[in-house]
Amino acid sequence: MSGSTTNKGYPYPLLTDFADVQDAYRLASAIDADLLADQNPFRAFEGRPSFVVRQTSNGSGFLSGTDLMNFSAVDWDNTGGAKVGANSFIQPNSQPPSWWMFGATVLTVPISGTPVVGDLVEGRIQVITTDQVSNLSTTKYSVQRNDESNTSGEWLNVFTMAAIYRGHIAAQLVLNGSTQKAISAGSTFWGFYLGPVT
Amino acid sequence: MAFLRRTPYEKLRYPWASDVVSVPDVQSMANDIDQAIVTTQKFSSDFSKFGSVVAKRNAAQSLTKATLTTISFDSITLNNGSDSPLANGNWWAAGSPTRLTAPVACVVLVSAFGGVNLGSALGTAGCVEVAVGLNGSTAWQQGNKHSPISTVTGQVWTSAVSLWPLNAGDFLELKMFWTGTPAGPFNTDTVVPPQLSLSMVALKSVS
Repeated sequence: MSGSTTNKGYPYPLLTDFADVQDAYRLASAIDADLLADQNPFRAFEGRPSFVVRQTSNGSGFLSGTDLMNFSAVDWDNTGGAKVGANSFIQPNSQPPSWWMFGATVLTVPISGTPVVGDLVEGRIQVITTDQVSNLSTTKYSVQRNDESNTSGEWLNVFTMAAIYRGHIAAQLVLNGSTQKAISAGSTFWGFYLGPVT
Repeated sequence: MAFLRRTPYEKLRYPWASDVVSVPDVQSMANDIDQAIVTTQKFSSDFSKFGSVVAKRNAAQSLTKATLTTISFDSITLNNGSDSPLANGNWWAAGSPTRLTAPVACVVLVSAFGGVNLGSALGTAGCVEVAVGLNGSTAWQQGNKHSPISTVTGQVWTSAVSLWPLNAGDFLELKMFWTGTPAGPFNTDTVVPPQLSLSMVALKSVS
């Protein structure tokens, strides 16, 4: 088989070639692989990587400091980076630098004492990413602050976009107060791939 | 006709081994290539046409104090599910005015927004909340809640962004909540009314 089509390079026999039934196989295989390659970007777009995880039981109470949301349930994940029991989404190492959107609803629950109106309550998304050249890690935060209202727990909706490479992304609760609170069951963390960073 | 095998991906039939290529063999192969190219063309035509919807509550809806209230939509400014080859069905129907129902298994990005018209100030321990819930349950909701300044009256809004994995038939609803010193009830804001909007961002399964 010594000929090939002009644009796609599909192989075919010339008149001077010995007729071989496997010419049909080679032609079919070339077309098959080419069409699959043409379809793959569309499949990737329609099935873009995303995850949604939840904490399903209340966390431990604390007065001041930071706690991480626990991934007790993975409601959806086709990234491979959201694992049950983890505290952060881990971007697969095979993925090149890419744009993602992350969000969370961090719920709080009073653990002890009557919550004091005005005590600091923040929901936070922590983004740790690695520089592809220097291999140095950097950490950045996006924050929503809804201070204590003493109305049976706070709801903090926080979201961000980030360029990440070998990223570790976590949802956090930050407190500074005088009564114990915790991350509540039902808190949700999510993310989805927006595209490559070129 | 020769014994035919198929290629691994597009399942194109081709003759194999010591067979002599016959006219029907070539016809089979050509028909399979034709079908595979049609599939590819459909991918290229449809891939970005995700369904989306915007639902609003223009008329005032009463919100009872300390009660999570499901918003009933009376204005659908976008409902393009039936125009989307990836959804192939509407998200909203008049028979279920609170619900945005997924026509197919998908992942959706959701924007929720709601305002309360405070007839009197909430006082020190008060809040306004907007939530999105799945399938009528309160077990799983995403939203935002904040405490307005204790003396504020009039319009107060809050909003939230969330991502949901949905199966076909799952529905999302917009809910609002307020509490504070006054007995209420208060109405939803009619100047900038409550709104739930979403867009599919992915299919759960791509063939």
